[in-house]
Amino acid sequence: MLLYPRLPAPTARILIGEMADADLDELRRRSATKHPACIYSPTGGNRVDEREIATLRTLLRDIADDCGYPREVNPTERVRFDQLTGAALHKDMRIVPADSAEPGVWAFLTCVVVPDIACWRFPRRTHERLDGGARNALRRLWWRVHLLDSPAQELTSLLGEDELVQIMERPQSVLGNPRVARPFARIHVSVCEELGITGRMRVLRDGAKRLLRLSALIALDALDDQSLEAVARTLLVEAGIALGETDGQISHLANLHLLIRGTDHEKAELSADDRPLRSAQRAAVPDVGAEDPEGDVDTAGGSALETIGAGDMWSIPLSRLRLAIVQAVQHGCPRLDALVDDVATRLGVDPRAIGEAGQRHIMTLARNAQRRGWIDVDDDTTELRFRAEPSGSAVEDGQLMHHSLAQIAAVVVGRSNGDDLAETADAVVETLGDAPPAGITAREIVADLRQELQAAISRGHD
Amino acid sequence: VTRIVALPYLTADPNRVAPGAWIGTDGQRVDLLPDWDYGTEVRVTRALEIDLEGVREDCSLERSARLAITVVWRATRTAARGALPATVLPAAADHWAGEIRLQLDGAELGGELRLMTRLVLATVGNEPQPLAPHLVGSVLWEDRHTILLEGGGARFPMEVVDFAAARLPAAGAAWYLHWPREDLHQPVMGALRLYVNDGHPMMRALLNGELTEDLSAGVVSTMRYDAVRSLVTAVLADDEFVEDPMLYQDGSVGALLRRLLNAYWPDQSVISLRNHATSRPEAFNSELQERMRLLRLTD
Repeated sequence: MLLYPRLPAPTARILIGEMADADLDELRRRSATKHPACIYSPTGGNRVDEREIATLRTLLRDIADDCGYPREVNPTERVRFDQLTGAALHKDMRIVPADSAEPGVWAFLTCVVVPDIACWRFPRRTHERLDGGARNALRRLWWRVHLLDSPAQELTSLLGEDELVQIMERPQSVLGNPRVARPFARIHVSVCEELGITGRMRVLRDGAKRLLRLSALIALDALDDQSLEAVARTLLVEAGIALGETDGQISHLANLHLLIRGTDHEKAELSADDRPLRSAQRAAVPDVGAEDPEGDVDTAGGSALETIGAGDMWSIPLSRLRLAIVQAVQHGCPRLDALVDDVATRLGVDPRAIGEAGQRHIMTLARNAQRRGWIDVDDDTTELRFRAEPSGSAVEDGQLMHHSLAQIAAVVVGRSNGDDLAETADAVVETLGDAPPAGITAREIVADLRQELQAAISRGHD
Repeated sequence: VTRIVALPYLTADPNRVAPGAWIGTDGQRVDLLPDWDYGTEVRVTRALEIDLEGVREDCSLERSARLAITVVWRATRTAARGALPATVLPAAADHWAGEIRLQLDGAELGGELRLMTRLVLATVGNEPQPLAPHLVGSVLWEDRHTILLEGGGARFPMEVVDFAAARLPAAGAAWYLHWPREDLHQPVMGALRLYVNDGHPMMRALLNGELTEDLSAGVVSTMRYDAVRSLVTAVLADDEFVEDPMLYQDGSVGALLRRLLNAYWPDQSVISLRNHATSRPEAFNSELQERMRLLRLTD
């Protein structure tokens, strides 16, 4: 393994300033295989010699020439240049990850060895592409090959630039683990292909969010390959369906699939066909908490729980939990401090069995509903009630909440009563009452739901 | 930073697991590996005792549910991440005591090595209870430990360079602090660096070990003070930082500065510090000297 020279950041800044106006010929003339300011890591490995740097430079120049250098680079050539360069750097530099994480190494290669090629590839010549940070013209290519490619499969050549960026820009998360990132990327490509999805990028982004949320609860890094693949597949299918990226024929199959083994959330998404509801539902997802360096998220949001997804094991108890909270509020509910006991009773569970985590969770769900404007908590008495007149986005939220509650209730009741839809609808109306505050009644929602489900079933029979 | 995650299932009381310290090859607890470089493997072990019966009770798990122990590791500098394959604990046992061993290739590592020991659900029981964890891999108990690799350098990266050759603004200066004033979210390891001028006679003598002990300690003390003073003064003028210093993730420059402020002024909020630093900069500077024990080499 080889140690590379490191260009100090202040020096890189000066050189980048000088590169701003120089034409490509001039930059090629300035190209060098050493710089007097360079320093090396004090330990580990042999220093690369100038001859080897010159060889690397020739290699990069050949690739660039092959991709149209010095002509203005087009999108196809850019992709090709990135693929070939990534593979070449990873194979020929013989640099260890620890050294490759050092910005000075990449600043040296970019600003000293191949400034011409870097400025050709990124004609806007922004600092972030030229200094040694994570988005450096060359560094990002080395790292994506390191994370994703294996002798068995070169995933970087199957993914688009946007998709690679999605995966690479979360290095501190569970996606920084090749054992997770590789199957996730591979299955993403195959799920999109199987379902005939065109907008792959959005599916990946949504799927990655789902994965990160799940990583707060599940030690994904420690799952065996088979379980990991199953989780990735579930999340990505959910993402694809939730985003409505499937074409007519496939969505029909997907609907069928969901009716047979979908989660509540999938079903809710499936039947929420009018735009305001869908957008509200989507908007409800991101506000559940910020990602932290572990890739974990604060799972305090109720909607996050519905979207967790991996299999439908979660959905029954959680739906019941939410339903119990709503029942508690609707039926002249308790005060905030009495909520846990009330909910436990409705769940048929000994309040002591809920435990601290369960209590925290119930309170978080209630607080979350308050934050969204679904319910009010009286500060003095801590009394809970549905908002009398929700306004603005809260109207949509209120509809959304009732809509999804009806769905949840339908599924919960449906599961215990078999699949009799009429019976389900009546049971739901009975459970929720028929006077929700946001101008849409449970009966209407259930009628819609019933129509949806019946239509989906008859499509499935065609 | 305490982050409360409301898990949607029951978890174990932390006292059900008695974790031993992470132990290095020398048999001592490891928080810091001062002589580490990436040619060196990291080998650590820890003993664990788990009250399995208690965990099952806390989580409403049946006896048929199996548990496993795993370690997820992550290196901040390389962003490398991986996990020890899960050890599935014996079925139906009430108690487990054992040791876990972690051996990592140094070439993947750098910065801080974060270790998360996790007790997870390995197999779901026959009839899962409501609120009990239902998914394989659900985290029931977790413990985190950080090992600092590369000693002091990981906390405050430093580099020796000839200022004239590096074309730094003032070739005659003794040191130069480079930091991302405009983006405090950047990682300390990549973005913050103190360059020491190899072309400066006193600095070169310091680096070559040619100064007396007192003189060398005095120079280092002054250098530290100067670096911290520039960082702290600038960051207290940064509105985004002052508004929400908790915004910055561990390992970022913003988080380092938050910790510095908290270390030297544990009793003051960032906002009141800003007021203090702007209204009475002289007092603020001399307080910092006192708190950093500037040039107090012996006592």
